[in-house]
Amino acid sequence: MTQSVESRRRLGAPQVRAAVAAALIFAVVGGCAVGVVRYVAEREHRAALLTEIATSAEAAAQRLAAQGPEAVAAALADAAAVSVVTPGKTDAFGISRGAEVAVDLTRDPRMAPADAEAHRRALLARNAELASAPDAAAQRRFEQVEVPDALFASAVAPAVADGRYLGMVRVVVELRPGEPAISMARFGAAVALALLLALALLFATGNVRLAGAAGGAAGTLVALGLTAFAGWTALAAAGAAALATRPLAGLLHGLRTQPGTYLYVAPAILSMVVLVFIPFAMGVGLSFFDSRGEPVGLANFIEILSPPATADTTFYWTFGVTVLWTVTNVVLHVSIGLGLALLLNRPDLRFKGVYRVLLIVPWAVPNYITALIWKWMFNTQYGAVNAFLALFGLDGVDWLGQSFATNFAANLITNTWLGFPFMMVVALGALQSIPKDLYEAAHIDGASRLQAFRHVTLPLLKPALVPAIILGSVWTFNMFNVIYLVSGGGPDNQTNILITEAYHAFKVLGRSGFAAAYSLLIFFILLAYGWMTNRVTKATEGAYE
Amino acid sequence: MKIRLGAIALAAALALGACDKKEAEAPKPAEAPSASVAKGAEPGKPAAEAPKPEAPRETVEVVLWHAYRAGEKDALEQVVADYNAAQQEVAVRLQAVPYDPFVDKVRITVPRGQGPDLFIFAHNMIGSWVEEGVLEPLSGHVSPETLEQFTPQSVKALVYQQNLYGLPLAFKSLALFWNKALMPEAPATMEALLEAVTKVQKPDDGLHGLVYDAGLLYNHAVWIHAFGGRVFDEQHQPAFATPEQEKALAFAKGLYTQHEVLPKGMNGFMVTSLFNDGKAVAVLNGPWFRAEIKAGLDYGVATIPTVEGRAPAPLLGIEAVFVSKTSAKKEAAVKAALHLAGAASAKVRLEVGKQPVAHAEALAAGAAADPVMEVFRKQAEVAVIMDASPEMQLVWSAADMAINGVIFGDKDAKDALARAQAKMVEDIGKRGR
Amino acid sequence: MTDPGHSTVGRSRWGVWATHGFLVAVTLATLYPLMLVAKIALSPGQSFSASLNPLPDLATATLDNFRAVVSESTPEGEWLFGRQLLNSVVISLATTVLGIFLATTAAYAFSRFRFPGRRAGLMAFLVSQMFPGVMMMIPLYLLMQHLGLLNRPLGLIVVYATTAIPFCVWMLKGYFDTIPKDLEESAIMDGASQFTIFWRIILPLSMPAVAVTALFSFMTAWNEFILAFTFMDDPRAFTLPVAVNAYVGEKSIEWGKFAAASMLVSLPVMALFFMLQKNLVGGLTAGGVKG
Repeated sequence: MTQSVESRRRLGAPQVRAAVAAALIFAVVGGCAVGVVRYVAEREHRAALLTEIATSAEAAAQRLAAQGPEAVAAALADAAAVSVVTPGKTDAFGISRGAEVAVDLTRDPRMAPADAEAHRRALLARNAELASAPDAAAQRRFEQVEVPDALFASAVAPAVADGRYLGMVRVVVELRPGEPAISMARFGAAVALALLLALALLFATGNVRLAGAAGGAAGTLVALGLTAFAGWTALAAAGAAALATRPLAGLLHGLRTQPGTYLYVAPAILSMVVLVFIPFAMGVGLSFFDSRGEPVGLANFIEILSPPATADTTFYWTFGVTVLWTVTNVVLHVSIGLGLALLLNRPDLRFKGVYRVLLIVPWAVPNYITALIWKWMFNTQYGAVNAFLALFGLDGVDWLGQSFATNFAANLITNTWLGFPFMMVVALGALQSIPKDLYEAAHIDGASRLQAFRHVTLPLLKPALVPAIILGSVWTFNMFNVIYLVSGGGPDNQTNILITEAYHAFKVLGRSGFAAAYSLLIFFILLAYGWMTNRVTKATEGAYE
Repeated sequence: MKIRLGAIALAAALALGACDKKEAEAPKPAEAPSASVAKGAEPGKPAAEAPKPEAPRETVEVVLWHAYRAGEKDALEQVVADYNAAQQEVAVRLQAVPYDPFVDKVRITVPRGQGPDLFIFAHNMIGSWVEEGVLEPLSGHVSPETLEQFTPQSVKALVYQQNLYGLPLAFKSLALFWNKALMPEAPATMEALLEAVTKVQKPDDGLHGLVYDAGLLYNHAVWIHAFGGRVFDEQHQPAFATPEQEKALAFAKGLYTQHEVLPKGMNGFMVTSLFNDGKAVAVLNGPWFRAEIKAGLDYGVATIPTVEGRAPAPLLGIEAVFVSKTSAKKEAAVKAALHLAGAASAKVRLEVGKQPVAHAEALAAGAAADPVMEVFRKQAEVAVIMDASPEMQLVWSAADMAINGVIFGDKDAKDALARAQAKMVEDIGKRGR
Repeated sequence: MTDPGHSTVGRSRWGVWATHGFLVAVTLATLYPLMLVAKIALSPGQSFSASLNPLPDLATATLDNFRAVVSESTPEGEWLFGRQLLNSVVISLATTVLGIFLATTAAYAFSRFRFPGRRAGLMAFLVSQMFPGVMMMIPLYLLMQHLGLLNRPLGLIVVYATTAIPFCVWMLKGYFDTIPKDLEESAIMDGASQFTIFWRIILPLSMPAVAVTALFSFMTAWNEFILAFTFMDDPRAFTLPVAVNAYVGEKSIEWGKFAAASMLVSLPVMALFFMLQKNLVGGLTAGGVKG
């Protein structure tokens, strides 16, 4: 990454690469922003159309009521798509019935699912409105029942003929596509501008960061116009460009000079991008919306970070518990796993294979059943854990009762049991990379076993153990099914970890945006952790270079 | 004055232009909602004309998902096999899927045009599923006469926002099971029952009088209803911060502290295990429990004894067959659903699967032959239908937390209930945001 | 400082006995919950046993539950267990092969070459493990639907392999780093290509690490159940873990079959580990480590 600008003030390949990189970054950031703008504009457009449909339908309905049943039959005859507003009479079971069967055939097959959904919601909203109206209009409801043609002929049509339906009209409102808020041409122009500006500034100053940032910001403002939203986005684009232009330009350089190397990593990176990073980006987007699709900005994040004083557990408590959970687990997994691996690596030990296989069984058996067994073992009166303690004359513990510490310990014990075999296997593998002659050398040099462990084993285990520990802690940070199955979060959700809250918000509260915001916060926390450990990894790498 | 506006209808044909590429290609064949709608009423077709007799069509195969196990599974398989053999129009393909992730699976697949045509599940998810576009409303498909063959409660449970969303198969509620070797007869009142079981039980040796997972709202609701409380009030707001709820908690706490009939930390399978090992005099459990009781254990089943003269009411869950909103074969699916809920099927499900079926006649016949079935029939009459609104999903965990903390911890009932109530109201207010 | 009796190679008789005593105690403690599972699986009927004794009652022990699990079939009479076992084996083995292929090549490049984006790439693997699964589920489903990979084993294989890559890459890269470069340098002198070096020198020397990553990839696929159930609609396309979970009903669990199925599912993993652990015993044939 030594992309020095030695050819300063000459428009050479490095400058072009840097400018292309800046424009690429801008295209991504600006593209997201343009997407948001178009999405919002499209929503407004649709809402307006739906209102238009509703009002014209209401007016047509009034007209029809005045005209009488013949008009109804006529309207029905060529009804391609019909919705019915009926009086809300119900039968003994509480179902809208007879003349009151509510029909909505507005789901034209050409209608996109999103539109159908919007329409359904509009009908429901209108229902709520009608229900709260004080007059007799409150008796009417819009409802949606999709009717297949056979049923239409056999049920709805006769109902109309019988006079059970008094009226049906057809209102045609064309759902026009909205004018795109920002055209692709304009966006293309903005990207080109970003590219040119970056190029010009590079030529003038030779500063990659400045050029990228200015190009990005200018491009954004051209694409989005002079709004506050555009301003913030321009800031984001400038920041991203300032940070990433240089590395990206380096990458472009590398791709040209040593393409063979990239062939080795391309398959892995490509699959990661498609199956991990793209879904993640989709998820990230959700965190700025509520679950109805309304953009809410940072409201979800603010709600998480400033919990009400009355809340049983706050983000900060749960965060603390999560850190405690991660640290204790990883320490136990690694120390037990490493300890056993060292024992099982002795050349003179018999039955090593048997021990090794038996000790990984907890990893092999599906943890759903073993977690249930552990929950049972922690039962106060009947469980095995207290029976074991009783062997030593110890009093039984109410493990899954009302104490945080015992619940946490129960979760921890279960997860340690589940987790140490993995670390043991990793450590066993890593121990093989240590040549025996090193120990002999250490022994000859008069080192004690402890010294040999500290100065030979540990440093040489690092390259394999450090990634396992880092990844292990990341996994444990987000590992909630043991907690869910053993303590169930009890007492009072105190043993829950952050991911449980995200999961709860998503599954139970039905708040996808809020859950996404939670997940994004978790991601940032882990990212900070990963950044800190980056130094450690660098150190391990240094040992072999 | 009731304005006879009558039925006023509106229709909207939505012409969708090619606004952007994504839109244009969005409705894939599988996603297109009943493609027949557009042809629904051909111009000039007299409205009242009966559908033309159609030429014999090919068999339509519909996929049915269920999470039944053991006897209930056998019964369902038999019903479907009989149905497939008896007619050529619809072939039901039965697929057994795991229960636990079922709710999420249909919520992810069905709105996207994947998943089954029909599925069997308890009624309590209806509200959420309707909002998510999972369920096909059946009001227009099923005549009122058809519904009269079921017990009224079981149909009512499947009505959400005045629409019918399924056909009832079976109902499930708690009742009292007792070990006849330990207690020959079950008294009719809780007071007498507690007296009887405390005589037999040895809490220190692990033999308890009345075993159930007391920390769950599902179970505790029995006492809530007995003391006149309820889960939601008329305005459909949670009704936890009430004196009735406090009384119910005090009673349940008494079972643990004062009478010591209740052990700590129970859950479903532990209750079964204790009962089978003769370590529980009586348990609160549902119809599914019959299949779990060890062969040879002499037990009785009765409706839950009265508390202070009032009949405790367990929550009533209805298992129903639902039609997927995005199914391309709804007509066939409805036909199959009607058969699955019908008399012939109910008879098999009751006899082979030991299900308390929702089909009134089949249930009456079964109850006459089987006293246990009669107990569940009677228990269901006083049971309270579980709320099926999406709000109910936000009540469970907060309620469980309060109930657990009060009965087994040292939480103040009034305070815990107030907190639970506040939490529920807050969560309900934030729903969908 | 040095105690001559406690060298790394030779140790006293008492030390050996103590080691075995300790290992036996740890193994028993580890196995106790699993013995309870085995006991339930071997007991007749479907109920949970509250007894603390982990040993099955030999008088009533039966293989009925295992038989019932293995002979599980669809209502149409198709052998469901066989299908699901086949799915599991195919998907897991394919995941292992694909995962190892993607991971070894990438790890080799990360270990041996210096190129722009190297550190970012390594970090990207790490970062990918930080995305909470909750948020990924629906986007991933949509993506799979879009790519036409729903209801196809290939979809699961690709997703599992991708899930396993980051750990495998980091693990392998760490191991590759310890392999001295002089071996390769002499090979280059002999005119070997970069790929030949990777294939003929690095990989054979890294068998312990490859064994660990193979086991990890295999386990990722073998035990996964949420995605397998979400992406597959037909029980005939399920993998075994989905089948195991199917024994857990709404209110009751078929404990006997649940336990038997759980044990059956874990057997192949143990067999695989038993085969692979020979590679863990093996050791480097190469000499010292460059400091």
